[in-house]
Amino acid sequence: MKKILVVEDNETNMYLFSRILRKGGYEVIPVTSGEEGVETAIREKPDLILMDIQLTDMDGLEATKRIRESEAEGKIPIIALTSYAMVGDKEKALEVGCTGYIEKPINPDTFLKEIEKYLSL
Amino acid sequence: MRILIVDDNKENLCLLETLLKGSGYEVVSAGNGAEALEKLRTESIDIIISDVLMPIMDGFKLCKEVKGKDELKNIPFIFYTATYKDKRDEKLALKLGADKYILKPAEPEELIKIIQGVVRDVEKGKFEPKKPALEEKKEVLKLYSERLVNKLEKKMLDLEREITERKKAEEALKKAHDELEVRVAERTKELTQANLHLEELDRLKSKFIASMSHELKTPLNPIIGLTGIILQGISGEITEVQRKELTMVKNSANHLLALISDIIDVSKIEANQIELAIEKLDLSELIQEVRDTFKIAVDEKDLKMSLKTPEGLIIKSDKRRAKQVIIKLVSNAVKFTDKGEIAIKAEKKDERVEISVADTGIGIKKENMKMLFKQFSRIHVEGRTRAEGTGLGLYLSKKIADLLGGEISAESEFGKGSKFTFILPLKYKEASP
Repeated sequence: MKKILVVEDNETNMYLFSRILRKGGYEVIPVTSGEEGVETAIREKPDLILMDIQLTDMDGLEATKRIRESEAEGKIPIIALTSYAMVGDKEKALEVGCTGYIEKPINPDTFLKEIEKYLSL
Repeated sequence: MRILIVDDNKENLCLLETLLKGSGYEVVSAGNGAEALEKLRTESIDIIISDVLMPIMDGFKLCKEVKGKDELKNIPFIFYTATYKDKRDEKLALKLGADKYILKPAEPEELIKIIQGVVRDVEKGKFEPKKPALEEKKEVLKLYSERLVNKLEKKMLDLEREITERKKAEEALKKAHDELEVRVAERTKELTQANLHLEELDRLKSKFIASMSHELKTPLNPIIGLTGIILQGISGEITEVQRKELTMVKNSANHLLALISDIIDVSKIEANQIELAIEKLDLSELIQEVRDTFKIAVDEKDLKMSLKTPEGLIIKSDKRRAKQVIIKLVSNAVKFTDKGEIAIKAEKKDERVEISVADTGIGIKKENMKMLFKQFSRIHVEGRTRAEGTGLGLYLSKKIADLLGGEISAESEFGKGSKFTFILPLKYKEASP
């Protein structure tokens, strides 16, 4: 079973992502802060990371940067969860090393397909 | 009796002439000493009445000339003056051979009376022409120059006084000017500050709208997401009624999302904060993507949708923004068409590409055409429930078209259909407004 690390500080969103991903046959590791996200990513080496960009402690961009710095080889796909509210969010995410991005609010009909796409890269 | 009157002031001359003529005398007039000499050369004159101060040749010089000529020296010479009131002026005049020296009274009528009196005396022969004191030439010259120096000194004093006054006025003017400059500088500073403040407010406003909209979007994620998974049956079987009602929830949530996204875009455009991502893109591919998005909606309404684009239409523009406009046009066409066809067409024309979306829908009344691209102008269509929209779609599309250096236009026949045309430059240019 493939492991997906979800870094998301909103409880309801976390419930939603876990629900869809588990139904899709993935193991979900939920963490609620950037700090924890970095630690867990290094320890657990998940198959994919869903990273909320706007976190309260350390933002998703910083967390992504740290994960990338710690990696020796074999980059884990990191998917940024962004909303288009702020100018340049998407570009910034790719700059710090995100593999791609999924716009929030997510489309529940295509969400799993997108995850599959990034896993098969 | 012919009288020569000499005065540089035309009004004086005219007045004297009229009055003397009225008394039955013949009058010859001259504007200065030189003119007077010329008249004396050609005309026979019985009496000379002259002003003192005149340009070219003054009265003193004229008198000297007249009294120095044998053929003229017997003509009575009478001075009148308003300015040369000094006794020494009169003395000089008499030395030069003048017969009478009259100080001009304030009222012109007085002067005329005096002159008429003198003229009558001359007529009656009471007047003994004086002989010029030519033997005292040196003394006369001395007197003359003395008088001139005196006059000049007076003039100079006048000039000095005038200069002082002018300087004072200039200083006052300069002071006023400096004060004004200071005030202008102060006002400019105030305005600059006010302007900066406004810019800051504007920036804060767009920032507020952007972050507010983000906050509004956040709860939509679970609303749309969870509704979606329930509809997918992930949380267990649902009844048809539940499906129908949840679909309404989902549609409303999506509508709200569209509204928020449009508000974000409009606020960004109006605050000049939109960032374009210009890249090479295949417009044909992009249009096909849009068509695929609407496949289900078109099938549900049992409409036909045709697509005509050349293979590989590569342009340089902002993909997301261009797509946003095309989606808007196609979604409107689908929304307002109940039967028939939606035809999407892209064509290269010179340096531009023309994308048109034509439908066989309800069309737009002529009077409503000008409202189309205005914000929150939603046209009521009889017999239809209020269409779900943001009231910002076409307004935003026009703004985006402008931003991309293109344009957007519409033609329509009510009841038959509409055609919207979106034109883009093949290559986006930074300078395009």
